[in-house]
Amino acid sequence: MKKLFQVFSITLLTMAMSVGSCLAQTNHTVLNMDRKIDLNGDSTTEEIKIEVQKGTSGLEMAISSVIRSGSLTIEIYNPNGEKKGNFSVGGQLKPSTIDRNKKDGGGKSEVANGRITKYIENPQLGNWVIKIIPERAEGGVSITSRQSYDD
Amino acid sequence: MNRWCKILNLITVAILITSGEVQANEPKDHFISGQLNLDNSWNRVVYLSHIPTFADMYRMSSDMIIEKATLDASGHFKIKTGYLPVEDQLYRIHLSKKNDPPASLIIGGQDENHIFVITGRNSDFEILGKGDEGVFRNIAISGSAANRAFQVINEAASYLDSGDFSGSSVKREFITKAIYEKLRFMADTSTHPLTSLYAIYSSNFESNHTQHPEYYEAYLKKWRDEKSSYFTAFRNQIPLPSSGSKDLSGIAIALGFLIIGLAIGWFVFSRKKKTDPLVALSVQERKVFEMIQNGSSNKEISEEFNIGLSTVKSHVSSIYAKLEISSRKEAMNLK
Repeated sequence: MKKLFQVFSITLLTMAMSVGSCLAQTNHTVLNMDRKIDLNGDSTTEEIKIEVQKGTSGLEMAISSVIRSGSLTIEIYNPNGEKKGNFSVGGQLKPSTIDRNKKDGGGKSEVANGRITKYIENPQLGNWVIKIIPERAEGGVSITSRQSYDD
Repeated sequence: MNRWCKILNLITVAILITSGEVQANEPKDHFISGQLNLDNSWNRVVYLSHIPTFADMYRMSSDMIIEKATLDASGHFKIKTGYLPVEDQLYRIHLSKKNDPPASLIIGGQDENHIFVITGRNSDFEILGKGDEGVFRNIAISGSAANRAFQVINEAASYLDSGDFSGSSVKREFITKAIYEKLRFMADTSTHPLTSLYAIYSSNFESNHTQHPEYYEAYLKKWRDEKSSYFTAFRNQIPLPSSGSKDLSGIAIALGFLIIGLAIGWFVFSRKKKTDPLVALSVQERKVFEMIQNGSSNKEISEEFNIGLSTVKSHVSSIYAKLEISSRKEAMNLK
C-alpha cells in the first residue's frame, strides 16, 4: 500500500512538472481586428492602419471582398511605404445591366470576389496600411488582422 | 469510255493524294494539361485568363477569362492553346470555390486558387499537383523550362515574407537587399524575356531603380527589340536613359538664346546712346548746350539763367566730358 502510494505520488508529481514546463515554454497573446465596409457606388479611398509594436512575432492580415459592380483595388503597404500585396476585382457591366440571379458562372454574372491572406513573421514595427480604393463599387469588404506576441 | 474511266481514276487519285497532304500539314493540337488534387470545396472547372501586363497579375474580372475546362473525377484537365497568340504571353489558371463566382481570386493561404503560366499557341506542358496542402501550393511543371524558371523566381521572392527576420532592422534590410540582388541576377541571366522581366518585377524595381541606373540602362538595351505589352508597360515605368542628356541640351539652348538676347540688347542700347548723345545731359546742361550752339559766351549764359559764371563753366566742362568734345567749335558742329 505504501509502495503504491509512493508510485502514485511520483507519477502525479511528474505529470504536474510536465504540464508546468509546457505552459512556461509558449504563451502567445493574440490581438484581433475585424472590420466590415459596405460599398454603395463609392469611389472614396479609405486607409486602415495597423500598428505593429515591439514584441510582435507575427502579423496576419486577411482581406476579402465581393463586388457586384464597379471595381475595387486593395493594396497593403509596410511601414516603409513598400507595397507588399494587392489585388483588384471588378465587374465590367454597368449596374443596371447586371443580372443578379445568375450565380452559377454561366458567363453572364459579373460578380467578382477577391481575397488576400498575408502572414508576416517578425513584421516591421510601425504602421502597416491597407488601402481600399473603390471605383463606383457596389459590394463589401471585410478586413481581419491578428498580431501574435511571445510573452 | 475507257478513256473517261482513266481520267476519272486519275482525278480520284489526285484528290486522295491532295487530301492526304492537307491532313499531314494540319497543325497538331497543343494543350496545357494537368492533374490537381481537389476536395469537395472546389468547383470542378479550371479557368484560363489572359494577363496583358505584370501589373494585371492580381486583377480579376470575368472579361479576363478566355477558356474553361472541366476536371474529371481524378482531377485531370486539358486546356487547348491552339487559338492563343503564337508568342509566349502570361496567363493565369484558377479554380473557384463552391459558392464563389467564376471570377474569384484567392491570394495566399491554404486556399490560394491560382497559378501563373507562360504559354503560346505551340506550347505543351503539364501541371501536376503534389501533396494535399492546398491545390496550388505544391505544383510540378514538366515540359516548360520557362515555367519552371517562373516557379524558381516565385520561391525566391516569397522568402521576403516568410524569412526569419528576427533581430535588428539592419538584418532585415541586408536580407531584403540580398534577395533583390539575387532576383536582378536571375533577370540578367535569364534567356526568356518574360521570366527575365518577371524577376525584375519581383525585385521591387519601382522603389530601387534609381539606385541602380546603369543596371536598368543595360537591361533596357538588352531587351530593346522586345515589343510585347509587358516590355512596353515596363519601359513606361522606367525613365529613359537619354532623358538626362535631353534636359541638359535644353538648358544649353535656353542659355544660348539668353546670351544672344543680352548681346543684341547691349548692341542696340549702345547704338541708341551714340545716336542721341544729348540723352546723357541734364536739363540745365541741355539749356546751356543750346546757348553754346547759338554762339553765346559764358557771361551771356550766366546772365540768361541768372547763375554764377563758375557754375556756367562747371556745366560747360560737364557737357564737354559727356559729349566727348573739347571746344565750343565742336559743340556748335554737333547735330
